[in-house]
Order: sequence, then structure tokens, then C-alpha cells
Amino acid sequence: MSQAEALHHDDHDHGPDKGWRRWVFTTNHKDIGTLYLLFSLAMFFVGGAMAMVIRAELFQPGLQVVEPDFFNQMTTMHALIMIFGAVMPAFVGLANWLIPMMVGAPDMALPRMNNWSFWILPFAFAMLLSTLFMESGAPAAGWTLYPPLSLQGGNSFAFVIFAIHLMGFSSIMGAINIIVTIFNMRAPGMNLLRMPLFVWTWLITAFLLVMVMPVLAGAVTMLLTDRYFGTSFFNAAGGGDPVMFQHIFWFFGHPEVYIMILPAFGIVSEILPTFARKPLFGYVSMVYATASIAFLSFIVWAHHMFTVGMPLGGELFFMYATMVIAVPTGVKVFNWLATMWKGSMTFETPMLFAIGFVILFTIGGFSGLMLAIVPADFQYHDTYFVVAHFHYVLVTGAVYSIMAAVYYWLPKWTGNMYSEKLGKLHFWLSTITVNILFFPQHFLGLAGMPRRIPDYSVEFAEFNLWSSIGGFAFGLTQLLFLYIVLKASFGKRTEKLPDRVWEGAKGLEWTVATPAPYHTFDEAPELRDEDLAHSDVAH
Amino acid sequence: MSSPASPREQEQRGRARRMAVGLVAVAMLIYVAFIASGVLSAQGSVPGAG
Repeated sequence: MSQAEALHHDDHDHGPDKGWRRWVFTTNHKDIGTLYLLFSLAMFFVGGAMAMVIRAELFQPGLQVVEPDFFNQMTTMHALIMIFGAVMPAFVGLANWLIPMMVGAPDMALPRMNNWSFWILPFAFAMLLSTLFMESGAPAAGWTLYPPLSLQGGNSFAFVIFAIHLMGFSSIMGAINIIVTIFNMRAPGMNLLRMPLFVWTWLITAFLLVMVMPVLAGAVTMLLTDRYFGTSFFNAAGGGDPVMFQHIFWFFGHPEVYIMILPAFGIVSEILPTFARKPLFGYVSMVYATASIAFLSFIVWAHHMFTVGMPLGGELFFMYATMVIAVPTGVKVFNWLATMWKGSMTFETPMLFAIGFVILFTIGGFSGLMLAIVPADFQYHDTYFVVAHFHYVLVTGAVYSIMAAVYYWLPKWTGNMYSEKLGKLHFWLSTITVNILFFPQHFLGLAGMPRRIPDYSVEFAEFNLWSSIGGFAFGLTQLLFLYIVLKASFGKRTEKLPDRVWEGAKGLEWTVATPAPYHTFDEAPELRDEDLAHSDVAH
Repeated sequence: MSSPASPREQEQRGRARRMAVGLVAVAMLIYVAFIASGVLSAQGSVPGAG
């Protein structure tokens, strides 16, 4: 590329293209962030519709709504869509919108790769969803794709594997962009220890992504060759080992859990200080705790597979290593409590979701500790207790943090304040219904109800009834969220919001105009201590 | 009228590109390493391996 071309591509003064070209060819971090968030919202409702099918079938004992095989397709697709299509793209969308503004950069470091990272996703999910209409149906062996079961399906399997590879490409490229942006594009004076916690948690998450997405890709490539090219990596009859797949999968899978929760920690660490009107307590310890959790995530994978029959020494190691994670997580939870302690707290919708996160995520954390205990896990494994646990972590954890983030930054993105009354209604309805949905599942699991079954013994009927009622109500409540977001995004602008939308908010994103202009920080900003949340940490 | 990116920004993006190439290499290495570990574990069950 000539120097002139290079200069042209790095120009900033032009505005957005008109019509569809703006969105297809955009290299602007805000546009791409919006695309990720809209895609995630759409997938949230697609995956949510599948959850409604699951809860409808489980509303009462017996088979009444769908065939068992279709039920299995729903559980598998619900998980794949919510993990790879809803939660992860939502966090990447937030990263795109916020990280350049938070570090004082004009854009992501590699804007064209950023466009590519996003636009791979719709094709990947079109391919994944197309399997629902194929003769052999969608994948039905669970999102973990354990062989030999996953290899016994029809030829839609190849589409699923290709879709997962595409999602992996997208995630790795997005993660690399985030890492190189944070390391290279920070404004002068924005030292690593002055960065907002959201940036720190995303930096660590991005390293996790680069390290574990290739592991998933390797695992599913081996599944593909086992299925179509005559290898026997995981086929015992051919000398392979199906348990090896579980080891490789969870070496990816456990860090993946933290990929979905570390950015949530960052979001909550931004919101609590704003509405407590106090600096975050223990900023540096938060950074170290995040890094510790990321490190530990690599040495606990086998706690997902205690029941395969591993040596006692292995079980003990993975049990204790898992329990150690409670230490840095506890540091975080106590730091959040200390941040709120004696603060001048107000309870706007983002704050409500952030506090809801702290309380309800901690419940998910505690049930995780219970699952870490080897002898207890033999009882809990593959029961609804596990389903309750990871939904507390992922719904009232990750999804709550995403909702908190949307309410918190929506005025900065759109220039419109959402309806606080409706926001609070959304929070309270969500919090009541989500607990009716998931809390009874603890009892179902403890009583022995297995997961991934379309029918169950009558003794489980009542808790399932409550769980389904909670599920339908939680699903309906999210239509209110959709209405609030669309109204704020496309509704008439009634008032001019200040740059610093929330009185207690700190950080460079609150120094730019509201709504944020198409291009920000064309020239590196001068950092003023009063604008930064952590100006006192490092100079 | 467009204004070119500053020399500082160009230099930042150059460094970012080089770092990105390194990270892509790391990701590819991990991918190959895990498949290689699968081949070694399967020992002879893969045509041409072991």
C-alpha cells in the first residue's frame, strides 16, 4: 500500500456513509459496537424463544409440546446461541464502544479487521440456525458436543463445526484487536494502572480468548475428522479416547466461563462507584484478583468431569484449585461492598442491576463451591442443580451486568435518557421472575432430577411448574427491556443531556459530548486527574 | 476535507499490526499443538500417525 493510500485509510474527518453501506463497510468502533450489541439483542431473543420451548415442555410431566429429539436440539442450540451469540458479542460490543473512549484512542487499532470480526458472526449463526431446517435437525448432543453421541447425528454436524470455527475466528480477531488497542493506542499519561477496571478486565479476557479459542477449534476439528475422515481421536473402538475430548473441551470451557464473567466484573466496578459517589475500593487488588482468576481458570477444568473416574489425587487437586478461586472472587465482592459502604448511594436502574449482580452472582458462586466438592459433585453432577448454578452465574451475573451497562451508557450512546420508571420496573420484574425461574431448580437437582430430559417423574412436577411460570414471566419482561432501549434509541430527543450524564461518573468517555460524536479523540486528550477514576494510583 | 492521521497514530497502528501478527501466530501454534497432542494420544489410531 502506498503512503498516500495508508494516509487515506487512517483519515478521521469523514462522517458515516449513508444507508446500508454505513453498516456493511464501517470501520468506526462505535458503529461496530452498535452492530455487535444489536446482533446480541437479536440472538438473546432467539435463544430466549428456545428457552420458552424448553420450559413449555417441562411445564408438566409427560411429553406434550415437542418430540424428545427436538427438545434436545433446543437445549443444545439455546446454549450455543446464548453463549456465542448473545453474551460474548454483547461484551465485545461494549468493548468496541467503550475501550477506545476510555483510553483516549481515536478508534480500535485495526479497524478493518474489526469490521471483519463482526461480519463473520451473522454468517456463522445463519449457518448454525440453518441446521434446524435440515433433515437431520440441529445438533442435539448438548453444547459440549461430547463424542460419541455428537458423532451419531446427521450431516448437519459439519455445518455446526464450520459455524463454531467461524465464531472462533471472530472471537480471536476481536480479542487481538482489543489487546493491541489497549497496548498501543492509549493517550499519553494513561498508564496501565490508570485505566478503568472495565478496560483491565477486557484486556485479561482478551488474552484468555486468544489462548482458549484455538483449543476449542482444535477439539472440534478432531471431531470433524473423526466423523468424516476416518480418524479415531475420540473413538474407543479405533484406539481413541472419548474422555480426552472432555479434557480438551473443558480446558477451553472453563476459561470460557470467565470470558463471560470478567468483563461483567469490570462493568460493575464502573457502575458501583458512580452511584455510591466514592472511588472504587481496592483498585489495584481488583486488577490482581482479575488476573488471578484468569490464571486459575486454566488449572481447574477437570471439575466439570469428576465422575469420569480420575485418580483420587487428580480429584483432590482440581477440587482445591477450584476452591482457591473463591479467594480472588471474594476480594472482588468485598471490594464492591466496601465501595458502597457509607457512600451517598442512589438507586438508578444501572445501580439496581449492579447490586442485583453482586447479590445474585454470589449465590451462583456459592453453588459453584458446592459443586467443587468431589463427593458432593457425584450427587449433583448432571442434575438441575448444575443448571441452576450456571444460570445464576450467567443470567443474573453476565446478563445482568450487560443490562446494567446498557442502562448506564445508553444516554451517552443515544443522547436520550431512558425512562427511569420503566427501567426500575424492568429490574424488579426481572429480579422476581428470574428467581422464580432458577431458584427451584436447585431443589430439583438436589432431589435428583437429571438435566437435558424432556419428561420427568411426577415428584418433580411442582417445582417445574413454578420454574416454567417464572421463565415465561422473565421472557415477557425482556420485551419491556426491548421497548425501553428502542424508545431511547429512536425516540424524540426531549432534553439536552450533559457530557457527564451521571453526576458521580468518572472516566474519559464522560468528557466527550452527549451523544458521543462519530469520531472522538482525533487528537490525544490531555488527562486531568479530576476526570479519571483512578488518577491517584499511578503517576 | 480529510486530515491525515498524525505520525504518532500511524506509528501506534504500525506497532499494533506487528503485535497482532504475533498474537495470530500464538493462536495458530496453540491450535496445532492441541491437535498434535490428540495425534500423540491416539497413537496409531490416526492414519499415518504414531
